[in-house]
Amino acid sequence: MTRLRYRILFAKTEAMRWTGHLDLQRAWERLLRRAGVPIAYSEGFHPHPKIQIGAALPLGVTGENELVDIETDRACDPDSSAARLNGHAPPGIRILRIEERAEGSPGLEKVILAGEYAAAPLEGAWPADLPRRIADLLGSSELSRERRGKKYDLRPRILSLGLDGNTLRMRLSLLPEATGRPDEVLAALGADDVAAEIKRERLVLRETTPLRNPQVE
Amino acid sequence: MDSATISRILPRILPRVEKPGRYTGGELNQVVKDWNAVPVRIALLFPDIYDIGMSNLGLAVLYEILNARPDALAERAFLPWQDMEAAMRREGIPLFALESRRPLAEFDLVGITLPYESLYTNALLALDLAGIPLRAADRGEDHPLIVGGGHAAFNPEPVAEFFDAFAIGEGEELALDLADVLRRRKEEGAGRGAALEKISRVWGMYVPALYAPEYRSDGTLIRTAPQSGKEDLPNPVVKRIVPRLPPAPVRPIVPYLETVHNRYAIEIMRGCTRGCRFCQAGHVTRPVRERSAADIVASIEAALANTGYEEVALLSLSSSDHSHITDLVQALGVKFGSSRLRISLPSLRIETVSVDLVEALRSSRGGNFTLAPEAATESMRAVLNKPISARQLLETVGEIYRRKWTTVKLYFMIGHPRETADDVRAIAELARAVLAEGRRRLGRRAEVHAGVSTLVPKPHTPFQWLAMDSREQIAAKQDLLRRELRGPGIKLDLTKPEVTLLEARLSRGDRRMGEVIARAWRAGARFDAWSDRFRPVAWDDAFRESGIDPAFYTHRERAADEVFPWDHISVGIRKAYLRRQYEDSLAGRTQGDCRRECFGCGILSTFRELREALPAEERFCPIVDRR
Ligand code: SF4
Repeated sequence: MTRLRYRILFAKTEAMRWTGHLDLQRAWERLLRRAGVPIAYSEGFHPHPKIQIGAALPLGVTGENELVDIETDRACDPDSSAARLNGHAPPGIRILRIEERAEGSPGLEKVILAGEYAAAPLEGAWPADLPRRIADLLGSSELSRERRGKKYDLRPRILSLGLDGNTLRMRLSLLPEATGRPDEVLAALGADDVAAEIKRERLVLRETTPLRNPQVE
Repeated sequence: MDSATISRILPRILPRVEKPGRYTGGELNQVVKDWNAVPVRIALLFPDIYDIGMSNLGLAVLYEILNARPDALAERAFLPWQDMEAAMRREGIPLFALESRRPLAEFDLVGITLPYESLYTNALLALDLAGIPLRAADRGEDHPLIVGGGHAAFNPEPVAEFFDAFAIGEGEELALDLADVLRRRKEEGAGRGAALEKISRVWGMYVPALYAPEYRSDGTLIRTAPQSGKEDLPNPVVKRIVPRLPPAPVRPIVPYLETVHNRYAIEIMRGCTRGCRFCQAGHVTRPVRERSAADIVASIEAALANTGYEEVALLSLSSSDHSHITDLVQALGVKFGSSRLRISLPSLRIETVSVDLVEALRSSRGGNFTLAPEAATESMRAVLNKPISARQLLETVGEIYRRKWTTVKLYFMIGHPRETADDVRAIAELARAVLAEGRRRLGRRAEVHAGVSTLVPKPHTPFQWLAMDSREQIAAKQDLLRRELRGPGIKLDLTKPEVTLLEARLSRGDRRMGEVIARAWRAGARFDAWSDRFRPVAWDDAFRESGIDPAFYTHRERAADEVFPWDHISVGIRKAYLRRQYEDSLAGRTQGDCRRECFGCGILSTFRELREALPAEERFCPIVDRR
């Protein structure tokens, strides 16, 4: 059977941001089914739908330009499918664009390099000396942190970090085995007791990737 | 605290609790109405965590029915897990409803679902977190009315002092009647007492403060009856039923989180005609009413379009007894056979045609098949009125293994009247015989899981007169099973004696039990259905401090004419009928299926008028001439 591949750009917001990767996967399966998109299934004893979501978002972080790859059994028109999916989308998921993806082109795990995040205090303010703390952090050559009982060096995962008015902007690696988390950066800055709203504004992709976000690079 | 403040604080605490999606609402198909534009506001509370409560069908039914009314809104509430409870108490956040994030105390009525007794302490926890006084007598004009419902409410007495009212029986029409009363109360500005007075006259409603128990010096009851001056109140309070099942919900909320049952569930039939003597559900849900195959298929289709679910469960107490089950299965095959929908059909009779039915709906190989023989010897099956032979069971499991289900799950019960060690040993022998059958077909891949619970003599069943097994008797029988049932391919699952004993005490208690429940709750008892949070010591202490001997409720064979704490609540079955069943049970006499012949349980006379108002082909009891 010929399979067709599509890459979908979407936003994950509202209550949806409090659900993890597996829950999002299930929400996508159900959305595709409601919208009647002829999703393809893997072979084998326990067939599962061919849906691959790129780079999991930490719980509570919203994503404005997230990516998911799907495979279908029949061709779908990207524009009308996007409209239909939006008609059936649950609160917190909005489809922005769909593009066809060539057979044999690399999957999301191979093309996602980094994410760009923006964090702003919901209430209260950043510590007054945040600029100095940022400078110290960027000046250090190593930043040892522990997550789930495992030690790792956060420093190389921070590609850029800076204040833009009240918004803390950061570009963090999303390479497999070297994922930087925005909440960890806030903790490393001693600013994790500030109730902040964190957004992932865009994913940074390798060149030649379909749906490469035009704002990037 | 108001909803805006709660919304402001939540984003700060949610990142630090497990599964924050339990507390956010905002799922697909959630209904949010304009608070100020709707006069009747009801909170539906399931007193356990979201993951459990969202799988409750009754909640989904009431949610859809109430929200369909333009003048009413219904919102959901669940208990927080420990981490969130601590955070809420620290921040001073009261228990709130998910849709509007308004505190429960702002609603007109909070309906608390009580499907089983181990939720009683959780109901108190919910009231406490909501800042609502625990005892109905301590609530004022501005507090919501607290109404309990569900199967545990068929004996409401143990929790009578905590509830303003109970809904006895089926909620579909009752909920609408309650909404009417609430609406009129708003229009007239009527007080709490007047509203409860009105409610006490709605068919199926029980307002416990208007009734009082009277005891003899030996602690047994003389009667529970309306207080003086209220003699015109219903006595007994007869359960509510819907003569015909209303359309099933088709727009259920789809949780983002993985919940216990994350699927579309539809009740294909209500009630049961088998008359298993231990089974409370089989007695309290009579008479049988069915949904037609066409209606079921149409509801499933609509619900799948609205939810995208990958799994459907067809629920009933005894699926193979639906009069059109074969047509239904065929129709589902035609409609969904080519899709990847998983369809489950639980609660089947032990016969090979049941295997055919499940096979027809099956979408993948392997997996497990569940059967409930309940007892392992002919004499015990006669006691229970569950007559299936061992030969029939082995023939059925032979078919199951032959068609490549690798695991057979068997449900048994110990603690039956007249049970001997041989009857218990027979359970082990039967389970081993089932495994041998599996080995013959599948070799070492075959498995047997035996789940063995202990009989609780439940209210409104023929066993309500029975003394249940003591802790020592249960332990001895369980030890015997552990010794006899082990080895490769066998899994044995036993219910802890303490859990069963608590269930028995709570389900059989009278109003004096309220004191015990309140004490146990204060001593930290909650989430009693969770083995890691269950605290039997809190309960033992509570009984002792209240001066109440639990054995009085559970280990005493009752006199034929003893008045039970639930006698003023009628499920439509005559006590004399239950008593006759009890005597037949002790004599080993069985009784057939009441689809074929009427045994005069009382349902027909209780609901005669309702039945006669139905068109002939829809009348319940007996239903053999239906086709
Ligand atoms: S078949 Fe027996 S156990 Fe099952 S619901 Fe009916 S009466 Fe209860």
